[in-house]
Amino acid sequence: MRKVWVIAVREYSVAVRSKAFIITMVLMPILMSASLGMQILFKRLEDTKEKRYVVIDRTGGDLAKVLHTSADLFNQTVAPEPDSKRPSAARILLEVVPPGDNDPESIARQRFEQSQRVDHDAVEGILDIGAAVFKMHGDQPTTDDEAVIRFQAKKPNQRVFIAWAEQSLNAGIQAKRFASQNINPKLIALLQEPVTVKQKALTRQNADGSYVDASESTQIANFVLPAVLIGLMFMVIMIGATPAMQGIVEEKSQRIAEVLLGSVPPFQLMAGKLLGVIGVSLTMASVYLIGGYGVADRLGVTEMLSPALLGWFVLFLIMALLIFGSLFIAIGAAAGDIKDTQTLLMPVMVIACLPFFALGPIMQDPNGKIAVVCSFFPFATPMLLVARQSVPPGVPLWQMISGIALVLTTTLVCVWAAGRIFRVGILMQGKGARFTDLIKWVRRG
Amino acid sequence: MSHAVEIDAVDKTFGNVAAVRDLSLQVPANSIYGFIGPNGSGKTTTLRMIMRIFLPDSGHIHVLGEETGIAASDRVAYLPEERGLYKKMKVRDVLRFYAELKGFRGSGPAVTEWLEKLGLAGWADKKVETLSKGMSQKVQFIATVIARPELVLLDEPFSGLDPVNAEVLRDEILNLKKNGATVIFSTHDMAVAEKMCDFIFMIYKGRKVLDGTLETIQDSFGEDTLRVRLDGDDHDFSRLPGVNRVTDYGKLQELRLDRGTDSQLILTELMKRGRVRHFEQARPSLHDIFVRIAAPTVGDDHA
Repeated sequence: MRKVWVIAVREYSVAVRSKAFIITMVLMPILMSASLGMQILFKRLEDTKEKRYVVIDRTGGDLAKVLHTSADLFNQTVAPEPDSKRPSAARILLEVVPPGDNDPESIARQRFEQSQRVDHDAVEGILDIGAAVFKMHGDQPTTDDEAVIRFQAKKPNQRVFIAWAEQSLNAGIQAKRFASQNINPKLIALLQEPVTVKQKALTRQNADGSYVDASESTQIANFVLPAVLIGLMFMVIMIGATPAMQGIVEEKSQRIAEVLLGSVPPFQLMAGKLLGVIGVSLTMASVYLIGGYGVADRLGVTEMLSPALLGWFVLFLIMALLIFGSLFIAIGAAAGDIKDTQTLLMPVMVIACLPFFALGPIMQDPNGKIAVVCSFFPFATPMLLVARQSVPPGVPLWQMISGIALVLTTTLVCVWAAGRIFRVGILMQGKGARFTDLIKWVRRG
Repeated sequence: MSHAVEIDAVDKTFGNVAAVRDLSLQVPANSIYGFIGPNGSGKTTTLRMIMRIFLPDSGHIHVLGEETGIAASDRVAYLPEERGLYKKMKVRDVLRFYAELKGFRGSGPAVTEWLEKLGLAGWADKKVETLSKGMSQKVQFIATVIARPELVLLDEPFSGLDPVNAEVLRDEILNLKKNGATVIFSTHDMAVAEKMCDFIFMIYKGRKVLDGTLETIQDSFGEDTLRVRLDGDDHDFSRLPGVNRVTDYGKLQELRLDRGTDSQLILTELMKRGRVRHFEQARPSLHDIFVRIAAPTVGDDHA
């Protein structure tokens, strides 16, 4: 076992001292914050110039007035001081055009004329309010031009304006309908006041018998934390295991492997490398975790990161490192050169990404059938279990234990297979391995 | 005498190429055994089988009295032909790593001692990638022997070394033997094999063609070689009766005689052609024996 340690120490010290490690360590947070910054930047680059819309109100002009009032309100809220401060959205400017004659020919001509203005970028769009929008249709809804509000525009993305217009006009139309029936619209609004559903985690009982209500922030935590934890896991695995994989390829191409095999049994060699991978990744994870805790502390959400959850995280991080590390090492053993590793890595990456695909349905029902079944797919086990554990009530103990056992067994098989592939693959340089070859090598050793 | 390596009726085939056929060989403990043979004749395959990196298809190999399928052993060390060291590591770290892998703890002083002995003391803290070819070869040699293995296998240890470094390496190999180790090395340098090896083994097309001390090998060919020098140039000795091959070294000609040819008759013939400055009857050199066996197929592979 001492030789496993000797190998692990070398792997670790070489990896940690490598430029790649130091650069990724520093670069990763920078890149992450940079991508956040980019999002903010793009948001700022959004077009927030004033936008002019034509309104043709065929109901007589009341709704155009409603729109004007609403537009003033909108402009005040989204862009209170247009000259001194950047508005958060485009201000809306309305141009009311009186409707022409009420025959199909004239209506079409007017729409064409206004469309031309849109084409020449004089205005952004045309809001055409049908004459019969106040009429109630009951069981026979209609989409006749008369009964709807038409919107015509050249640019596709008018989501904000359409939503605003729809809401404002409907409010106006409803007010008019209420008035026609002598109903006080304010009363209706009161009567229709909605009641919210508040999501809470389960109530717990303290040791002293008092009951603890879950804080509301856990709801966000339930959603965000698993994703963050899985992402962190994924990242440190990639960073920790890739150099080991490349190291094995180097050992093969530099003929170091023969000397190594003359000193250490292949299984111990691979086990040592795996241990090195775990060391490297844990170093990185601890740096990020401490950093993450600092950020959480600033945001005042440290209670999300309970010591128990962190414990589970580290445990399952080690599990994930074992299983993916051994897989990466096996790839290194099978590959003839660095290019080969890329080809062989593809299927592994797909496997590694499976938990991400399944995460949605699993988090909806963390202890449901899908979640349980997926958790027993060994390459997904560590990530899914830690994600499920981060959401109350957590994973049943039997699943935890059997999950760990499954991961350990799979790892042993992987390391053993990697050793055999390495031993055979070492002597077959330059020849890329096909999967059938690999299976043969594993069986024959 | 006990044997460090015993190979018994071993076959090894790769695909449909027979790399080693029906090979038996005994390497006595505490001897220096030279493996010679043209490229691709099976030297490295044999060494790797002794290392147990390859397992034989049939037959048995006992190394230091054991027969196992596990390559890893602290008692056996191997210097591969295409040698490799971790390029990014410092010389000292690499050597300590290899020493510890062979179970040699606290190798620090030994590393320093070896580096000084081979004139590499100033390079201990340099990265391997900064070394010249000859230097990295010496480092690799140290890595092989630092843990004092009982059996040392060296694949072409002298290739690429300048004469000074070759001498240093030769002394260290002889020291290994003095300290009780058994050394097997392959070489293309027949002069080295003649001078250093207690036993010489030649493999050709996977088969053993020579095995024994230099004496016994040469004896088996008899004193069939004449080295002669005559005044003047342009002598053609190939037509002389009883001479089946002439090697012209320029100033010296080497004649190989048919079995039963009387050398005195040749001398008489030579004296008719000019003044004989040098006439020597000898056993063939190892080089000559090698060429006799391998000449028909060896093209670009003269030692």
